[in-house]
Amino acid sequence: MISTRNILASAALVLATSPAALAEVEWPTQSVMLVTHSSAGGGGDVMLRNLAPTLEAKFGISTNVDNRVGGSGAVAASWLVNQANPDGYTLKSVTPTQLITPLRSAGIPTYEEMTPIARLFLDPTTLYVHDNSPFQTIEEFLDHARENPRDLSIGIGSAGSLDQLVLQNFTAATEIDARTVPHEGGGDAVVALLGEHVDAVVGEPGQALTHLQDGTLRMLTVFQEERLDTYPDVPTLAELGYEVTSNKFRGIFGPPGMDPEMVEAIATALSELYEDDPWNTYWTEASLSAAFMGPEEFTEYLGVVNEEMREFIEGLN
Amino acid sequence: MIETAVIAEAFLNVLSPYTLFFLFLGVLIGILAGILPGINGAIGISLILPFTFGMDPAVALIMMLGLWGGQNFGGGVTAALVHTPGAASGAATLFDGYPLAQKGQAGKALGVICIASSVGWFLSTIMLALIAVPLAAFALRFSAPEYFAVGIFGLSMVASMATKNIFKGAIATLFGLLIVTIGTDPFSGLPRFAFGRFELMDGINFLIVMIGVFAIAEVLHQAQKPTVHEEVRRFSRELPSWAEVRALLPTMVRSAGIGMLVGTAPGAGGSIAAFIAYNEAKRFSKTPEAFGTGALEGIAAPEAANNATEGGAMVPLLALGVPGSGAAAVILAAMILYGLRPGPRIFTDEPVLVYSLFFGLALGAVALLILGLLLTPYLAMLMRIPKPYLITGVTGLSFMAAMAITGLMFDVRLVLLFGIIGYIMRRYDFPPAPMILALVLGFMIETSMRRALIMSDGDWSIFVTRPISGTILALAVLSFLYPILRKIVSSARQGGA
Repeated sequence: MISTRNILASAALVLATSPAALAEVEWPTQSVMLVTHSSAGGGGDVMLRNLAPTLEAKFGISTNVDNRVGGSGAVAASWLVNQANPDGYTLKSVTPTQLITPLRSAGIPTYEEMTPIARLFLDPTTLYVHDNSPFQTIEEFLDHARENPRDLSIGIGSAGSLDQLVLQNFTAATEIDARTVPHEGGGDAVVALLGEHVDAVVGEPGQALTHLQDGTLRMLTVFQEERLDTYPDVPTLAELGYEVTSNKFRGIFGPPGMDPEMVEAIATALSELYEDDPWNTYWTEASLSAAFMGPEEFTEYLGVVNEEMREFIEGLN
Repeated sequence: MIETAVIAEAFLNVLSPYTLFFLFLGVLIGILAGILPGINGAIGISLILPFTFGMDPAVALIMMLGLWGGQNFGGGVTAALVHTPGAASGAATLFDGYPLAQKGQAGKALGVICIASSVGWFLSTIMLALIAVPLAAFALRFSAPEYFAVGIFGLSMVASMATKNIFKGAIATLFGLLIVTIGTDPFSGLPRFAFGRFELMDGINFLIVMIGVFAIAEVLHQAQKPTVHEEVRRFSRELPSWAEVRALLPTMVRSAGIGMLVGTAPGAGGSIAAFIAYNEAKRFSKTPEAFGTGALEGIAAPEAANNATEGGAMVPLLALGVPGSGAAAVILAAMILYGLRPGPRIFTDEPVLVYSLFFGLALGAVALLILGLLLTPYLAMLMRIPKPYLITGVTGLSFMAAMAITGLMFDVRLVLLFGIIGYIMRRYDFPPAPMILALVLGFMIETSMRRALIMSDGDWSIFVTRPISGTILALAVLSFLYPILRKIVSSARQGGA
């Protein structure tokens, strides 16, 4: 491969009259800054902190993870649009939060103002409880919630997030009344559950990984079409007859005004990382599904998802 | 049960010249990172992370832990010498460190900072090694009502901070709380008092306010003084005497305990621990009136406490895999990168590594003592710089720090604005300390109060019926009334005599 490319490049060098004609963008060749809106230990943060060493090991460059927490992602989004350098070395993790927040309040940059680079994963939303919890199954959980309105409290990572929408869908579909407790990120919600200060958490399995594995926390249900490979015994909510599914995507955005060739180069580099460690360990253990989309496909997908979110949020009001 | 062989192996690992070299290097880099405003422990550790590839994980982690501890010391050095903390954890050191250095005893101020930092660090390591697992269970009992109570306990210190005029102290506190409300509502996710500026959506970083209110206000104040015949300022590089250090021991031990406990709670942190320790030292002191004028206890308490938070923060990090601060988050990422899984099982799965970290931390405290005392005379020489040059340098450093913290030009202007506000406050005797305290604690108080009320479904009794929360709130009431009662009692005595 490489030698072929070299030969082609040499041929191009001979033939080319303008140096721009042979510009083949390589990425990465210098330090990469990875920005996330989630706090330390939250989903986006964990993703970037695994992506960083994978990039470092594979490409021999340095990386920097920057948590720009706040405003349900608005702070990170505004920063990306207004201040980040579009040279391809400032990238941001992206989740449905980036679609929801601008729909909820005006003046926050939308995905259309940024450069979608790649969708990387679909991330299941699940509901889990503490090992000491009396609820062994989701049916028991629902029965208790129906008999005791507002008795159960359910923690989520942050206000105005996809987790909150899933939780609202869940309570609406199952006709239960539970209290929503927002935290400063998914990691904080898990700590609250570990201390048994909330009755359950709706969130990704990834943010509670070690605790789900050693049995401190117990997953009751999965909000998606099919059961998870890593938790084959946990039923989906659809199996109980409630159509509540969430497909939380994880991807990478760049600042506006990026060179399309650079965008392609980054997407290609990212698409080839799935088998590298610790990236591989991260996504398999967190029960993510590798769901790569390049820039064009991802942009289309975002348009569709954004409309769904818009309808949903308008329906809530 | 931990076998002796494991402990011996860990000890020998750490004592190897290779490990010791990187430990000392880590502490040294940490001291420099702490001294430079805007470079904190998390940034410092991120910067060395790429260089640790290929190292033994234990050595790499020990180097990072060394950097973290060194950084806590460095932050206090800048606070004492130029009236602004080099790192957030050094915020409370400024109140007595700076006056003492201004009296010409910079060597003594830095010496106390170094010794207290080392002692706090060392003691917290011992506590960590002995009670990490039960302490992690205790930390989990902290939920929203408890964090609220800790925040209120912290705010109760305002009463003892504003000794001159309690009303001006209250106004300064409220001003600080008002600043905290700028940003984003944590429960609806909507902007609040951000005036349509995205720079304000994340709130105002309290270091930005501190740099303005302390460093820039000091520069304005100094610039007003005539400096026509400035002689070379006299200063002493003399370190504190053994008797002075021994007298500080109870303060350091108490502060280390406070730092350890506060550090264990994820989300509190070095600056909050330092403020609480400072106030407790004042309460226990035989000469509380000396606080604010260069009391050695007032320097030792916050420094012992902020270094002890590191041992405390290791508890949730190792036992739960939960990072309690930015620096801890970077270390957690490094551990995962080395294939380690922090969590309850790490103590049984990787006992040699865990004990190597404990020995590394303990020796880090020794490394800090050695390096800190060696560097102190040179750092103290900063005081010899003629004032016009010094305040020019401080101004430049302040703006550089603002830029380094957020990278926003907006924040540089904010520093200037808060400099002017700080100058006016100083002119009219409004104490800046309560305002900073409100800034440090405000967000935690607001979010934990609102979260607690959701948890209780609007029932306010949740704050007093939970044992830990109720106890801390009762202590807060006592702590608030103590200085007032003390004044009444002493004046009654004088009246009777």
